[in-house]
Amino acid sequence: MEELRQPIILGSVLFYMVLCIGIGLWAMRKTKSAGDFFVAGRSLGPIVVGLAVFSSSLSGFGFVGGPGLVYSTGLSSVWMSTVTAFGFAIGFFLIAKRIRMIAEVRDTLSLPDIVAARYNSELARGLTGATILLGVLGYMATQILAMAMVLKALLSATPMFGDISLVTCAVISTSVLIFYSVTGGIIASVYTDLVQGSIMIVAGILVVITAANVFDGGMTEVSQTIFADDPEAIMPFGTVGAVGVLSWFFLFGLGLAGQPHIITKMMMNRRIEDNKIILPMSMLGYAVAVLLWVSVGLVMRAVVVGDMLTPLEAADQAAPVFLSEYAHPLLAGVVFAGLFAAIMSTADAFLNIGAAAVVHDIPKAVRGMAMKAELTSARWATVVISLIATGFALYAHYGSGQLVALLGAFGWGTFAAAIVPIVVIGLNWKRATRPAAITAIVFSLAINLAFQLFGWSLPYAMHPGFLALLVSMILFILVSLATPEEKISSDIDRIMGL
Amino acid sequence: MSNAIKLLLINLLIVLGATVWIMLTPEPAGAAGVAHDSIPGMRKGGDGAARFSAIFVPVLLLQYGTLSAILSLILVPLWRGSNGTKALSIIYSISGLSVVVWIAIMVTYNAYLAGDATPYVLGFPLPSALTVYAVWGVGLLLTFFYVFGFDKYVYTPEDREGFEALLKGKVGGE
Repeated sequence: MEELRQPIILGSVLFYMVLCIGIGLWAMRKTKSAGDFFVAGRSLGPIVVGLAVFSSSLSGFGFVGGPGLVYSTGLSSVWMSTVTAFGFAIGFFLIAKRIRMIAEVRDTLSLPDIVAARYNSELARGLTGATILLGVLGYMATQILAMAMVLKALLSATPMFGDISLVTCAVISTSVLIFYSVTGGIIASVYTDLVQGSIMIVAGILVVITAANVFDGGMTEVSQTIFADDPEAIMPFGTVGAVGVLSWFFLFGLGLAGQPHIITKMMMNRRIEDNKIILPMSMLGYAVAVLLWVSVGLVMRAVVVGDMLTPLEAADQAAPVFLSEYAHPLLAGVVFAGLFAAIMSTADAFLNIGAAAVVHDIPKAVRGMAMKAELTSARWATVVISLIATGFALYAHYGSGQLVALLGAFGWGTFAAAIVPIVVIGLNWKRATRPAAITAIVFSLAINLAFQLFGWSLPYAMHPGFLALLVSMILFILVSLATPEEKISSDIDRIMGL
Repeated sequence: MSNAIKLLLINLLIVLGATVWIMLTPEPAGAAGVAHDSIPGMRKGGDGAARFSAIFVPVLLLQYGTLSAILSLILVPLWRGSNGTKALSIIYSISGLSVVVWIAIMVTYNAYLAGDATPYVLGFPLPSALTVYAVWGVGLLLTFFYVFGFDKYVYTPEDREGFEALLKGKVGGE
């Protein structure tokens, strides 16, 4: 079986890609309007939405970056994962119901539509759309680069594709992504998410079982081996220390509810009551993925500090090396397909909200109406965003990574700092005002950009996104109180009272 | 200003105060870890007691403020109507349990820093086991509360009637 390892892995990845193309073709027949393309006509069942929320919230980071972070810093990043129990709860308690209601009453297609409805402000709509578009380009570039590098690593190990270039791998993987995202829009995206989420859960469970059996003494022996080398690494705050991990806890706990690709999915379920199934589904999937992330990282740290394996060239190799050293070839095949699934499920979600920003949100903010032939325009926008992001990804690899890093500044931390106050608090507090919303967005962009541009860092490894979110939330409340109370549209006012 | 927003603002200001306090405290060597002496790409935490002692109090404040900010945000939509009081007491109970877990983490971690032997529970040293299982577990109670309290606290029959009435009228965006 061992000699078949490479063909099994490649076959699994190929099968997965063909499946995505098939789903794209199937979804194309169901996509007849911009509403279908962006919010699936608000007709999805709870299991589909639940797995879509989970799989799009966990990108390639959960399969590659997460284990790498545990390998490098010990238990520190566990705080990023345990807090998701609070993060998902905040999202569902505070906004899932209201967003679904506004989507139905106002026929909204995107998060900026919700923001415009709440604040009666085209400026707030435009700023939210622009923030999303910039963040999407940065995110997409990193996801495409990750897909291309994994595919190159897999193909270059075979005699037939030994010399394959990164550009070719980027073209192959992006083509699959573009195909199903263009043909089937969000319907293809969420149904591929269903497949992707299922693969990730199965892969996660099998990997955790494998990891727990690498040492005869199980996870206790893993912990003891790490403790013998550096006790702090296996203590609650890991090597990063208490302040750094608490800044992650704050940012990821409060910020998860501010991620536009997750919030947008809250518009898509058929019935509001489905939320009581969607939340536990999302939590279950995330819990399994977190177990994979933590267990693989810890096992790899233990085998290296315990001199059972030579040190890795880079921390991000923790998961691939674990799979090649300890996993059965069939499991490695499932996990590599799961890795592509994790990357693509996040990328397609971002692609969809980016296309909405281009053809719907920004034109509406600037000239009062969306682009004509919105469905066709959305498909073209999807292609253009993918191509620009692929260009950024390759430029980052072969040239300077600064551009992608800058765009990345508009990613997770900025989404959290900009969107949590204006949406999560704003949809639950009638006293929140338009100037406060605009102040929160502007400050969140400014703080995150300043840290990137000037290369600033905070003491004790505090995350800059934590500071941006904290300042933005405080400013939002204080500016709201300092500015005159505003009249809210009667329908939104009634929804906020429910 | 609603009571829930007032509570949220107070907690955010506590977090801000603790953050400023920490930023003004001189950073001891290796406060955020150091490079591993023999393994490239890996970091070590080093002397836990040395890097923790200078910021013990502001870290406790930061912990309390962070946890309270997260939980007070959840209170915002629940602070309403006759069912609100019951919902608040459930969230307060979960908050209380969270504080107990975090105190347990700090007490057991400090005992380890003081030189006590650390028992292993479910694969981890006790303070880490509390972090991995109990912090997550308490957060999970919020999901149970959402699922089982959905009809009573999140989307009540009155909410449903109100929303259906709104859809019938479909007021529009005036």
